[in-house]
Amino acid sequence: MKIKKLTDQQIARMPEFRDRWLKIGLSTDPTDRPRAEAAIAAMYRAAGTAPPRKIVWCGSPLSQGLTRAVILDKRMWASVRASVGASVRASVGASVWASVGASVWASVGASVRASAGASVWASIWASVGDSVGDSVRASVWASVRASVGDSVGDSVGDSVQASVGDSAYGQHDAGWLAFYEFFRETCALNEQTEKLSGLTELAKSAGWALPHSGICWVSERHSLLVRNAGGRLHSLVGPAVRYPDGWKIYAVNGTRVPGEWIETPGFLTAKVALTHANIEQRRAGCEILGWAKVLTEINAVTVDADRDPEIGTLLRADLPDAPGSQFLKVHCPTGRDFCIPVPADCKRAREAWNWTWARDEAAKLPEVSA
Amino acid sequence: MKTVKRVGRQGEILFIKINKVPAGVTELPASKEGHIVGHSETGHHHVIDDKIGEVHHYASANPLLGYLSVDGASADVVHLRSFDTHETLRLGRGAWEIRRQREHTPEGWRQVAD
Repeated sequence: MKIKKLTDQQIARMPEFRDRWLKIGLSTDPTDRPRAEAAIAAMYRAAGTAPPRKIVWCGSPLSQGLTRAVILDKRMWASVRASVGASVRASVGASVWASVGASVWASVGASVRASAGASVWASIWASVGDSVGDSVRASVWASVRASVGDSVGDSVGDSVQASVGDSAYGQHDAGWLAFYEFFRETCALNEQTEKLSGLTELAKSAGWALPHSGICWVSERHSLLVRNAGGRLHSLVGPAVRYPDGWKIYAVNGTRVPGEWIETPGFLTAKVALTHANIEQRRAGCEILGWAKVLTEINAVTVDADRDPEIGTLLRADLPDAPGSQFLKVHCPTGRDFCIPVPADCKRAREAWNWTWARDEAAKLPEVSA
Repeated sequence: MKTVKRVGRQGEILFIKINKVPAGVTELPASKEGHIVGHSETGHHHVIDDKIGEVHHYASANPLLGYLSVDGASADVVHLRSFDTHETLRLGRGAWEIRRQREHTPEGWRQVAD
């Protein structure tokens, strides 16, 4: 019979699952290797696949992707073939993520949907899955995922980036796993969620895993995680994330920034911040230094200030090797300030703002801004 | 949710109502996340999730300019970020120009990247 309404007792247990899975998702405890290896075997069996003959432990999702790339990437393999031996590559089968991961999620999702009404699904997701997912997936997992690709050069970037899509995310799958564990433990949907038992156990014991036929690479959990009051990755004194192999991610209020900005005293100057290519990182750099300090350091003078803060203030400054540089300091509807380099011959803020959109001054301004 | 009648801005993207999509543009397929009308290096794309094929997305020779044809009643542009999120914009039926913001560089200009 389909569950159409949760009981008061079931609703009362929602915070318990949220807190349990937040702890799992954000855990920096050492990995429980025996438990994780049993979980991996269960993941394969749930997909009707033989467990891997070899489990390779890696210090982070990055080294996991790199280790796989050494074997699978043709260019990297060419350079290590002589010392590693062809039999190693021959023993590595194709990725089995589609059966071990994607099809399991789809099958469990369909079974639980068939057993629970839409409003029950929505309320459990909102109170358990989404709140855990926002703290773990949107904040931590998203930064780890983006950093894996950014941490390697173009020559192996594609191979390593592909490892992200082929991975089970272990503890970072906490949002969905919390959601289904609630159904399992409080609504008795054991059969419907059984296939997730391996992925659930992996999440409780390790980081990401990269399942292939015959072999599974698996990563340690992060050993350091620093967040701000809003739950975003944030540290002004060191890495915000660190893995046991030394791989680090630096972030300020959720925006990833170059490590030198945090670790090397004096590296981040107003010029470095203002001329950085990525506008979000540029804003973060200015916030690390403080806008007042940035503008003082470059002796910025106001050329023109529009009455609309979203059009902004046109500033002029003599940077060390770029005299007469101009910037438009604009206020974003999200509440943050950004600096946009504009041509030196702009005389008014509105002219500079229109230049950024390649529009002339007669063009209509937006009637809505978000 | 904000509804755009003529010109709306979401972060570094402008949506401008036009009479029709110009000739010579190339239709782009939707990705897993939908039509990515504003690409982000960090995955915080601006997207239109169109599951029923009522939105057509086009690229032009100018990387700053793209186009949309909204064949259904409306299309929602969503910013894929759970914090500091740009509010969703609703675009009505018809043709729209997508205009991406640029910034000055010593070499000329580049598209604003986030």
